Amino acid sequence: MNNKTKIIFISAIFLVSALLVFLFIIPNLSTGIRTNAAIEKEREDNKAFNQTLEELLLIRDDYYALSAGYQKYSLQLPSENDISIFTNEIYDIANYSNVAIYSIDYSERFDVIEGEKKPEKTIIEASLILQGSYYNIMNFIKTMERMPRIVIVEDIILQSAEDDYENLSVYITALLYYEV
Amino acid sequence: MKTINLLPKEEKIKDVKGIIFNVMLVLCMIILAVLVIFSVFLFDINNYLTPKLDDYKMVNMQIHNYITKLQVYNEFKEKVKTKADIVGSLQKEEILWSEVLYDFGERIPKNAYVNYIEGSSGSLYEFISKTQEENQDDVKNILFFTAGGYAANYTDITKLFVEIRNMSGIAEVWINNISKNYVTEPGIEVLSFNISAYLDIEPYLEDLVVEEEEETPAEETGEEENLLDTELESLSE
Repeated sequence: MNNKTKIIFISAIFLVSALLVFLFIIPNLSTGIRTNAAIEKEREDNKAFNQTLEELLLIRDDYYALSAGYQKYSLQLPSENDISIFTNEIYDIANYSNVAIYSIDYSERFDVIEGEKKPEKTIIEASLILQGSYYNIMNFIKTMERMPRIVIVEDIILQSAEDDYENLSVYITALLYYEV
Repeated sequence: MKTINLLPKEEKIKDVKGIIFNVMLVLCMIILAVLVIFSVFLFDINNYLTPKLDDYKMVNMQIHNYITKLQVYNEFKEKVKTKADIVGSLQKEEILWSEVLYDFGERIPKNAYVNYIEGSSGSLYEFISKTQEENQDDVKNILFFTAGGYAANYTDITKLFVEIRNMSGIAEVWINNISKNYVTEPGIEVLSFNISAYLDIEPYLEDLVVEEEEETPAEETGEEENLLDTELESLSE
C-alpha cells in the first residue's frame, strides 16, 4: 500500500468519525442526558405521589371512623342553627326536671376579632328564665350542660323569692354554636 | 591469504513517512472502532431509557388520577378535623356550673342561708380568647361569682368565706359587705352578707403556654423508600 492510498484511508476514516460524532453521538448523548433528567424528575414525582397516595389510602381506610366522628361532631356543632330542635329538647328537659320555663330569648352574637379571618362558627345566645326548687334547677342545668349539642352556660343568676324560699328564680345565659 | 573488500557497505533506506502514515492509520482505525462501540452503547442506552421514561410517566399519571379520586377523602378528613378542633376548643375550658353550684351548696355552713348567686364565666372565656391574641399581664383575677344571703353569726360568714376559698379554681374571695338585718317573719336579727369569688387564671395561662410550645413544627421524617419498581412490576403483570 503506498502512502497515497494510506492518506485516502486516513481521510476517509476521519470523515466517517466526524460524521459519526456530529450526526449520531452528540444528538444521542444529549437525548440520553435529557431522558435521564426526565426520569429523575419522574422518579421524584413518583416518590411524592406514592407518599401522598399512602396517606390518602390510610385516610380512606379510616373513612368509617371519620364518618362516625363527623356524625358525633355534627351533633355537638351542627351546620345549621337548629334552634327548633334545641327548643324541643330544652322543654323536654324542663318537664323531666320539673322546672317551669318562663321565657327563652334567642339572639345571634357576633364576636368579631380585629384581623381575624372569617369566623368558623356562629354563636347563638339563649336567655332563659326559669323557676323551680334548688335540686330541680340543679338537675336541669346539669342535663342542659350534657346535651348532645354543645351548650355552654355563660351567666347564671339564682335568686330565692321573698315569700317562697323553696322556689328559685333562675336567669341563665347559655351559648349554642353552629358551624358556618 | 587474506582478502580485503574495499567496496562501500550496502545502505538500507528507511521509509519514515510510510511508518507515520501506518501509525496514523492504525490510530484512526482504533478511534473509529471506539466511536462505533460507543455509538452502539449509546443507542442501546437510549433504547432502554425511552420506554422506561414512558413507563414512569404512565405510572405517575395513573397514581395522579388515583390521588385525584382519593382527594375527596382528604377533604372530608379536613372537614372532620376542623369540626373536631372547634368542638375541642369549646369544650376545653368549659365551666360546668352544675358542678360549681353543687359544690358551693355542699359547702354552705349550717347557720348560713344563701338567697342570691350570680355567676359568670363569660369574662373567663373572653380572657382566654384575648390571651391567645395578645398578652394579658395586667389581668390578675377574674370575677367568678357573687353570693348573698343571711347568717346567724359572723363566724358562719367567715366559715363560708373559708369554704369558698377551698373550692377548686378559686384564687381569691372577697367579703363585699356584712350588715345587720332584721327578718320580720320569724322576727330575728341576722347578718346579711355579700361575698365575691375570683377565679385563679394561672392554670389557664399555663395551658396556653403549653399549647404554644406544642405548636412548634414537627421535624421532617426521613426519606421513604421508592415504590416505583413495585408499581412497574404490578403494571407489567
